[in-house]
Amino acid sequence: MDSGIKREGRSIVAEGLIKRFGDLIAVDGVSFELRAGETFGLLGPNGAGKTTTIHMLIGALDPDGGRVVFDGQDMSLAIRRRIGVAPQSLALYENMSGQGNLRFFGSLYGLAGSRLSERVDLALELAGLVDRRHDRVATYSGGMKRRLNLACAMVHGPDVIFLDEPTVGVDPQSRNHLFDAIERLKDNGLTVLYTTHYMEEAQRLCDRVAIMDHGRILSLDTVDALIDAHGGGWVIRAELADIPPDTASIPGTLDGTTLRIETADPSRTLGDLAASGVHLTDLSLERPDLERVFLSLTGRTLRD
Amino acid sequence: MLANAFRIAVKDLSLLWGDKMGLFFVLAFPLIMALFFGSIFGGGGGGTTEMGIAVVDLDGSEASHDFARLLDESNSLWVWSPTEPDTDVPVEVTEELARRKVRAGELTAYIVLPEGYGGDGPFAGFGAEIRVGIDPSRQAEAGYLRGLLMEASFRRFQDLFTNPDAMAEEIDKLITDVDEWNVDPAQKTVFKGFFGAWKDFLQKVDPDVYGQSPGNAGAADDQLLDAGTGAAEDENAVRGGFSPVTIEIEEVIREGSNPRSAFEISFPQAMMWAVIGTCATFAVTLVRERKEGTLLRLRVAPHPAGVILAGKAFACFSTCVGSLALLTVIGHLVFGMRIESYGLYALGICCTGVCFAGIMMAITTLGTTEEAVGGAGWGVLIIAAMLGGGMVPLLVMPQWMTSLSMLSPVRWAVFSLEGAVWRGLTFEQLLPAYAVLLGVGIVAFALGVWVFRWREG
Repeated sequence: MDSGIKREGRSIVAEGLIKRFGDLIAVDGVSFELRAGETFGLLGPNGAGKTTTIHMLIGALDPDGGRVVFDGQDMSLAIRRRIGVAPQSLALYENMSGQGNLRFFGSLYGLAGSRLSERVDLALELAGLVDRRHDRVATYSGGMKRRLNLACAMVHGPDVIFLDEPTVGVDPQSRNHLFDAIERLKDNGLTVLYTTHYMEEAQRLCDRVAIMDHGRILSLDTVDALIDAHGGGWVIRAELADIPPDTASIPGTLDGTTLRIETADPSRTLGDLAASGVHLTDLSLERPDLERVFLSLTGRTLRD
Repeated sequence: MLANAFRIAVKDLSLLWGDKMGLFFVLAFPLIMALFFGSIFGGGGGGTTEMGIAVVDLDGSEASHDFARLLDESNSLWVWSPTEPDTDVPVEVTEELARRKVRAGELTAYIVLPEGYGGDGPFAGFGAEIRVGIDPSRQAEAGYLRGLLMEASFRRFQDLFTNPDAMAEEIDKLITDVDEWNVDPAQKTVFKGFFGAWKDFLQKVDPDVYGQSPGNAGAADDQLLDAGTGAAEDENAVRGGFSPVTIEIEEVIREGSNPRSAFEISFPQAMMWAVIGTCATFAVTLVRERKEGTLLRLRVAPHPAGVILAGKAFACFSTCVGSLALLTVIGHLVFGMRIESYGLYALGICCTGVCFAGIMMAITTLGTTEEAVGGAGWGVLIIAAMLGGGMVPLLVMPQWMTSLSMLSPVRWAVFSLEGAVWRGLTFEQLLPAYAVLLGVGIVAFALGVWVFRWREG
């Protein structure tokens, strides 16, 4: 789908953002650059400071320290016109129709007449809600509401879109639909900032990812680079038929009959294992991922 | 910018339209209050239990005195008896004096017993024409008064017929009068024989038994009263067309400064419940938007934060004005509420709308949840209504409460509307009320905006 949005090279720079709520430091010196056309992920557990960071980026919260710069300029009404937001909570009027919501939010950005109708049709198509456009939002399923939430963020044709945990609480089918929609926006060159605590989403959608915890960015790079730097090696798990008399010749660590081997070259390690003469009843190979990166950086998993 | 404020207002109004409970408190509840208070203060009555009247006795006969006495004895009437200053010397109630009192609103009506009311013979006053002067807007009082006059007329004849001695005297007069009748002498003899037999019956009958006979039963009073009040609809017809008196209504237009009906008090009073309901409803919407996340979308849209609040305030103002206008139409068309100055009335409605739109903004700062804002908002507004005439009409407030009411914006709103409905006030007299309403509205709005920005920032 062509979103009909003219892309321009724009970057958003967060410089040492700080936000306090009483004694709690929600965001503690966060800095990064969101490059034009990229999908940038903020990955971290609940309470890491992702939403607060987004709110400072979009101008909904004033930072206690640091600043946000859009192409060298501070936030202004003209810049607001070029950004779209899909909040974590479903920011929709339940007693209005899906189309009514889109028309209202589109009109706030100066759209009117046929231009507004075109944009609303486009957004409904993106969200897969053309057939339900006249129904009250209260009658939508959770997944449909999430898709409409995304559609409301892009109805006015923004350059940059902020998606705050856009898949929370939706079924796998709706999640895939959302992924497809976001990938279509990416293909059209939209700059996307995406927060999530699901590492598989960040891995699938994001060009670069910042790992956040306790209000700080622990590491920032492409997914592959993060994994290379912090993910460790591949992990081979094998279940042995019996414990061999000489365990010293077996690579890795043995816990009962379960063998765990971490390696940078799984082919060679598997060859070595076969050569050692052990009999395997089960074997699995784990690729290093962002979960392992987070574990490596924080000592905790994302779900902790 | 203003276009977005307007769009937000239109969106809020459309959401209110779909909110049945909100609509109930904005429109239906105030109407119920108007009808309730209008009814308990006497519907078309002026809010008192006794109706003040003047009796202009142009006849000066025993029958007319007797009729006036019966009216004075009624629990529903208070007959004006003026005296010379600092003395007990009664002053004659002339028709002009009585008309002036009614026109000034000091009395509900006057009754003229015309010359010749008493007439001659035993049935003086029977079938006489009585004139009643009353404001045409007091239809209910006119009907009720007509019933009371019928009752008094019946009671005069009832007294006569249930008192054998008094009746015997009247029969003696009749026997004497027969000689002067222009009828055949044989017929005179027949009449005298009939009257003699009647007198003989009255002299022999046990007075107690006579008084309890079916036609003279004590319940007759109530029946007569019922029949009499029913006459409001059937004009002078009572009991199958029989009428002891003929009543002619004279229209006396009141000069204002008193309400012409209880609905002229209850409608401005009930309108306060409309603005209070509107205020509480819209105060909650802002918190709801915050909770549901739509406020975030509004805040990141390309307009200053003030536009959101202006949109909310405009929606609240429009709803206040709309609901007051609707109640005004109902009050005017259905309940006869008359507006003396449409210009001042419209100004009062607008100032009230501004005031309560501002108060709505301030109320949104009372909490961060719908429950907190809804509860605190209703609490504050109900106290303001209690003090300001939303429950007890300003007209009947004791002095201490009147003084206290000055603190409530509801009082000034009621006053600004009443001033144009029945108080007959001028723009200069209403200016303080307008100033208070606008001042409170602006200050409350500014406070709300300041707290909103501080909280959201």
